[in-house]
Amino acid sequence: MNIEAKLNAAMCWTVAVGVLAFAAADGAVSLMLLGVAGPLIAYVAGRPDPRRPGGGPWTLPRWLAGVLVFLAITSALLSATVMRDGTPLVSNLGAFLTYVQLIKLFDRRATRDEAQLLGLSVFTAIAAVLTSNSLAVGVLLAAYTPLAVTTAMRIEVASGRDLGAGVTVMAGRALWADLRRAVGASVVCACLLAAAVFVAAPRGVGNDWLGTFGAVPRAEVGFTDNIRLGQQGNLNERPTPVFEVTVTDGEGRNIGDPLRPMYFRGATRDTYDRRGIWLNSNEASRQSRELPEGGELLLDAPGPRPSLVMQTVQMRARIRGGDDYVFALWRPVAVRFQHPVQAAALRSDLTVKQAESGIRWSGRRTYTVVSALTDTDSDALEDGGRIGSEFATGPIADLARRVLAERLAPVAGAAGPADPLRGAEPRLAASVLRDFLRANYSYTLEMSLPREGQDPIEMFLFDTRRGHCEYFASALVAMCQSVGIPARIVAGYMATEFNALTGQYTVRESNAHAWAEVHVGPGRWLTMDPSPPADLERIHAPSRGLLARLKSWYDLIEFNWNEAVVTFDSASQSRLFRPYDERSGALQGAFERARKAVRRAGRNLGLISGDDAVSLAGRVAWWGAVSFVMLGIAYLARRRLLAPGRARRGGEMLDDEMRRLLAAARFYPRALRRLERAGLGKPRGRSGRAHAAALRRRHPEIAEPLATLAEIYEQVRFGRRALTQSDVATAAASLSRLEEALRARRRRRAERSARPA
Amino acid sequence: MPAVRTPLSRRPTRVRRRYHLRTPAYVYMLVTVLIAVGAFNSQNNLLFWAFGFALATLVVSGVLSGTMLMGLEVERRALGDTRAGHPLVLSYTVRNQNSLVPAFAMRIEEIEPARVWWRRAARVATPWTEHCDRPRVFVAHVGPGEAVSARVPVLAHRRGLVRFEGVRVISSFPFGLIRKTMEFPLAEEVVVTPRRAEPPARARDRLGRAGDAAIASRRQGPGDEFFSLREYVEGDSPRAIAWRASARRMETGASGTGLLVRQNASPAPARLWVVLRLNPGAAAAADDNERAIALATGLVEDAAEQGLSVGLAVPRAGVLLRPLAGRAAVLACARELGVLHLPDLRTSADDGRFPAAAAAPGALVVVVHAGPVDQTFGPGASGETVHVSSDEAAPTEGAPSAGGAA
Repeated sequence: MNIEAKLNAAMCWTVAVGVLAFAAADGAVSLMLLGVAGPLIAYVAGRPDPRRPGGGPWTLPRWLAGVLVFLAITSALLSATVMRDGTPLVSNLGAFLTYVQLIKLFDRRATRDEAQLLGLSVFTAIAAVLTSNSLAVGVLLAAYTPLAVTTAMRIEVASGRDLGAGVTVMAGRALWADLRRAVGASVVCACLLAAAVFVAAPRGVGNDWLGTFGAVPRAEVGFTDNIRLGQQGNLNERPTPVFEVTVTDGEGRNIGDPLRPMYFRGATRDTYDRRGIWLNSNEASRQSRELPEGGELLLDAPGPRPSLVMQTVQMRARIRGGDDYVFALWRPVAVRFQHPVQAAALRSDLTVKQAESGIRWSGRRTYTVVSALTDTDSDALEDGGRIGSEFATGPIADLARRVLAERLAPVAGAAGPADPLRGAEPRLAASVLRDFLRANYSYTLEMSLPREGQDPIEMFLFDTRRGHCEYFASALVAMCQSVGIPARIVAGYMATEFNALTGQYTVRESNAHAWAEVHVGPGRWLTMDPSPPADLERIHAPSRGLLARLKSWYDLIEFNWNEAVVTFDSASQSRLFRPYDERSGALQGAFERARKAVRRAGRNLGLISGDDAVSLAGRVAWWGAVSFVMLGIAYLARRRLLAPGRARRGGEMLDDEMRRLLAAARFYPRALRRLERAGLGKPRGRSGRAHAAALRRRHPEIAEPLATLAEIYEQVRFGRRALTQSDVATAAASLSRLEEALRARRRRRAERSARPA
Repeated sequence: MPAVRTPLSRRPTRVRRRYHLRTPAYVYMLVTVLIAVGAFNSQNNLLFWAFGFALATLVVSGVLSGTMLMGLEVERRALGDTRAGHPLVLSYTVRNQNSLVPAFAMRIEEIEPARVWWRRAARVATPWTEHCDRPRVFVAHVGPGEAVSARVPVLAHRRGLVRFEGVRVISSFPFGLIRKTMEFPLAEEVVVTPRRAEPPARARDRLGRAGDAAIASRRQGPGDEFFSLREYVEGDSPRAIAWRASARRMETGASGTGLLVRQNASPAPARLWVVLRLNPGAAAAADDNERAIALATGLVEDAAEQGLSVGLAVPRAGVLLRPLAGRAAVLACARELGVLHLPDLRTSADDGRFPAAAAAPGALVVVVHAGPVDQTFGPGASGETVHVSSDEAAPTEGAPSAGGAA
């Protein structure tokens, strides 16, 4: 395989992987298909083919490539300005870069075009980084790196073709083997250096200084505390991971179990407004508190250690809307956040809401919840629950009483339906109602709209008799409240997917669930899930088998990717250097000193907020010093930048006299331009006279004036002779004859093409 | 005037290395800075990684290319002289003495005379840029410890003593960001002999007639002219005995057989002096002078082909080549005509006199005048003189004339 073919293959691979990385980051399936099909066709078309005229690759006509690029630019501008459809700028830019790359793949004529294409591809890869930090993007970029390096090197090796047709190319014996070694060594060295920079770059400096510049739009998941019944459509079954949670006992032992689903409660709702919306009656009394990184929210005395359950939750995605809940198995007594947060606790239901802090945080969002297994008797912690009047009368209350009367009659004796709860515990009554729902109603994710004026819960109980978890939970809570039992809906997640490799539950968006809590005594709430267990298992149970096993491996890799790369932060840096601290205080000391110095500089410049920030005057002085240094660098860069330009303008191997002489011989480059435009351009390696001789057979009327012009030019160029008046006149006449001949040729061609076949 | 060659050993042998950033490098650095700003602003860890990789790429690029060029050696040799309008063949050899690192993607250029950084000699030799095309050589790869070589023909446009100053190796490998240049001072001089112009018909006819007439040389040989007498030795033909001279010798009582044998002189080709009368000074005369030189070249070649012994005299340049016969004459005359440096022509009247050596009797003299013929310029009555004007020169079919003769 020759140099051209090797470069073509490398370029097509690079473009394909770059586009795929961006498409994977952006979730654009159409771009993904284009990213595969375009380079594949370009690879076939770009191979040197001796059957084609000139033996070169097939390329788009220049005008067509220009038109297509213009269309791509217009489309990108329109979608970014006029047709604002909410697509992020990076997505628009990435799509635009992809289109231009695919056009340029078919418009490669020189090394410069290849270099431009590689540049576009690199920008696409950067757009992928700005769009997503997912594992798939990471893997594709890891594949992209050596490909891009290979392509860059092959472009340089192939750059000899730019010297023209007559260039002499020398090559040693093992070009490609040596090039592979060079690529391998370069990639390994670059990756090691990049890893060093990645680890040592101070985190937290300059954070949020330029708004969202460079920020990745984080994945958002659909957990919502807004429980609204009576809506049409399917429930979300997306498998997007929301968080991973490790559950340990007070001694630190992992108590996760693949056969044991766990309910992670988030929000509670106890008030129904008859429009299908559940609300929290105590939401207004939620107390908000700003917690710094590592801050702890203490809700109660933790109690004896063996009775504690620790849940370490690592968020994988941001909750849509920015507000989030602390998810806990049981009521939390303490929560420790590893990220700055605005924590708002509600003591009535022991839920904690976490909102975005004033400090933007891009590291990992992890918190540890300590829950106490034993109930406390403290009424101060929570009230006795609310019994709303919404369901005191009506068909729901009638149904509840009827059910209780039927099922509790044997227990309560001959109490009759008028007072079904007399003599029965709330726990028992709630269980009866739960069992009634489980037995007589079926679970479905497809919902239809209630009739005009119909209550959604009544539609579920008396009409459709089918519904999802929110309907079951709403029905149970409504029935309990209708017979005087305090109850509330809990929205959260039901974790069923335990990964034995990581010892964690992976909680996905499809695990979102709603259930009920029933007040069964002072300070005691009982979790009751009225959804049919068989249906729940069918929906929430993780699949088993080869795919599931592969998926668990993927989850493991993804977890480590997130842990090691995506959420690497200053705490990770400290952890990483701690072992060296024990062995060598100097290294850690130096690193810490450097980190502190950078942070101090950041504070002095106002890039980081802190208590010890300097005054305005000090900040001005710091910025002045930085500006001075930057100006110095800019000055030096400018000198270096302009120096080669000056040298270039100095003219290659031409002294002043020769430049002056050649200035009078401008007719020659003009003639060459005319020929180039007419498709009769002179190859670089051929003299003007030789070109005239080559044209003589087919275009004698062009060759003759060209030979004259070339002769006069060469006398100036190589004979160092100034043009005489006669030379100038001859050159002018020859040039006009040449132009006339070219015009005539153009006319002939036009007439020929206009002639019907 | 013969070319003055500078001793090559006095030239510097130090190799010069230069690095400079190309425009893509500035774009690259700008993008790197933007990535860094984005990374610190957003704390996006993949951007930190991209920033690290961008920095690492710059470092790797510098180290790899620096190491690559460290052990490189370049040689250039011109494979003989050439004639204007014909290719001059240059042989380039690139040797990589590095035992580990291969070298890739290097462009080899001849250094332009204005760019040499070492001392320039004040020379008759003129820079290669005024004589021939730029040699275009690209070395795609040289393995560790390997050497590659190639012969590169470049078209020589103009006669003269061509000076090559040195060779420059340029590489932007591996990423096209930094252009590394190494300059090897490899001074070398090559003569590009003049083009040939066809002599006018009358001159050619005269040469043809002169070629038929031979004269006796000063060496013994198989000719008809007497050369000398010697003693008879056994085996000599009796017809060669010079009886009268033998008789005179015997009368004097010489010892031995007393017989003398006649030896004949070898036939010598007729002599031709090509006298080139150039016009000094005026720049307008440059074309005439070049045409006259091309015509003289044509005359020398035709005369040598006719079997004449050819001498060359260029009074204003101080050139005087005694007549030689055959290929040696052509080469010697062509080289002398090739290195004639017109700006150095002597301008005083005494320097423009007809050369005395060419005025020897029996030789045919062809005076080639740059411009109109001056009939007074000649050897007088001692020999036959043909005057030819440069205006009578006809260019050789197909040969380019740029800067040359016709």
